[in-house]
Amino acid sequence: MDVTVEDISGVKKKLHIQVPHEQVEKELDAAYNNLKKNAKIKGYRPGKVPRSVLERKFQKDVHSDVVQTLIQNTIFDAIQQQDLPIVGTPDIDPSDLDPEQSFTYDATVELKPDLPEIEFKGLNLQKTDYQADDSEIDNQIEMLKKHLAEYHPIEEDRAAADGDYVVIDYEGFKDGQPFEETEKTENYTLKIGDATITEDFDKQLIGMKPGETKEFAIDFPEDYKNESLANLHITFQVVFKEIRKEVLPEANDEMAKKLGKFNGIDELREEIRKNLQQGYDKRADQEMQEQIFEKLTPGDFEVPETLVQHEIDGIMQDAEQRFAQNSLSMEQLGLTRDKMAEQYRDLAEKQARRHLLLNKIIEQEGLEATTEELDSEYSQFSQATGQPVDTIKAYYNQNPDKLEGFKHAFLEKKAIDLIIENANIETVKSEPGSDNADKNADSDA
Amino acid sequence: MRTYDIIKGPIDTEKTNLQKESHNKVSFEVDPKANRVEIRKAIEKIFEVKVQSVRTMHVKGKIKRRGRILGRQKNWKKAIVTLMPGSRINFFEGV
Repeated sequence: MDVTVEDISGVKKKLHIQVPHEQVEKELDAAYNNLKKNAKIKGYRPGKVPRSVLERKFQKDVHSDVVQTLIQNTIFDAIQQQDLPIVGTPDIDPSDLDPEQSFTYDATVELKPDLPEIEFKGLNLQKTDYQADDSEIDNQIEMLKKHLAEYHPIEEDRAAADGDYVVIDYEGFKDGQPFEETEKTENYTLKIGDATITEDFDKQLIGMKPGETKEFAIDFPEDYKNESLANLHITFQVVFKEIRKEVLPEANDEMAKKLGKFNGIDELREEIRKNLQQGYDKRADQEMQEQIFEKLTPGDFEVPETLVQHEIDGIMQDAEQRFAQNSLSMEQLGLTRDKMAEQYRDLAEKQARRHLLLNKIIEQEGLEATTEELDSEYSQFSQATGQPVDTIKAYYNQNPDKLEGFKHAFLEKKAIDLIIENANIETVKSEPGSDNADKNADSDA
Repeated sequence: MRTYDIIKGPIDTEKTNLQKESHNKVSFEVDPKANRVEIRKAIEKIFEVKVQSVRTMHVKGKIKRRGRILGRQKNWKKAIVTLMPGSRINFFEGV
């Protein structure tokens, strides 16, 4: 077997593989002999069909089969012979088989980039120390108050104004007929000015007093949020019942108890602080990781396309799952796979690069996962998902592939920990004020 | 007569295959009314080969029985055509 390697790029090679004639002949003979035993051709007894007849009738099939076996038998030897660290599956471009000749084909393979030793010790990292402050907790409590708000009728006798909460009965008619989408609704609460139905609808309510009825028409705009109403002219009959005001609960122990498991307002504040802090810690860790990968050398190297594609697939699967959870499809959002693939390409490339770097470190440092470490991972995982540890363990033990992935994810974590352990970490206080701007930037990304 | 009506089709069996490989003889089913001369001409015209000799025979249709009912396959004529050395009919050599 002759193999010549042609460089396409640093991580992409084309192999020209030549299989000697004897091997071709051997495979052909084997294929025909095998076929001879089973072929049923009219005019011949089974097993007695001459090769010439078989060749005449089945040449195409036999040749394509033989080409496949030849490739299968030789491709891995060829790769081994050249000692190439390939990733993904080789892309094979076979030529036609000529029984009188040796057989040649081209295989395009992608290689793991050959990374030099990574000097990961002594990186200078900045750890931002975010602290949840009281104003944020207050904000959260305000939000909670809104959820618990009660609406009480007002005592004074006045007409409805902008910003009031009002209770109405309404029914909408289209061309004088009751209309399905605006059927009779009783005791409907809305806030004037929120445009819950439309702005015009709210305007019509302003100035009404409890007990009054009114009939008015609304033209729904073309781009109305409910498509079945868009562009329609609907006449509404409204019975105005009462005006209510929003009463927010006091931030006290009682409110905390209403929210469930808390004994007092202090406990609630503590819980909010803990949640916020968790989020901040996560963010600090992520920022550290960003820094690590910025500073790790070599940071820039060619990434095999296969790996990038693999990452893109992963991202897309995640996205699809998230959409499915919100019962959306990508089509509804005007996204196609191609569009997304393009959009996330850079991210995917970055991720692929990171995996390669971490891999190299794992290899370089000879990191291994011990049984105890895996066990503790399992139990963490079980806490996160709420499934018993044994179920998770059994699942991974049954799926060796998945187990490998799990182990690998753990090793990558370990590698990051190792980098952090060996880094010079400078802790920086987060600057108040710049905080919110940062957060927005994060959610955009 | 009708050159293309004379030859009904090739016969490809173990036996004819042997004859072809050892003696360059090919067999056809032919119209029972055609004679050797006509067959020779037809073969030479259709396949553009030289024919050395033509032997013919009538083949009696087999009697086939299905339950109580007797039936008979048709009688037909077989022609074994010896080609001139070097001549071949592509049909038998594969397409």
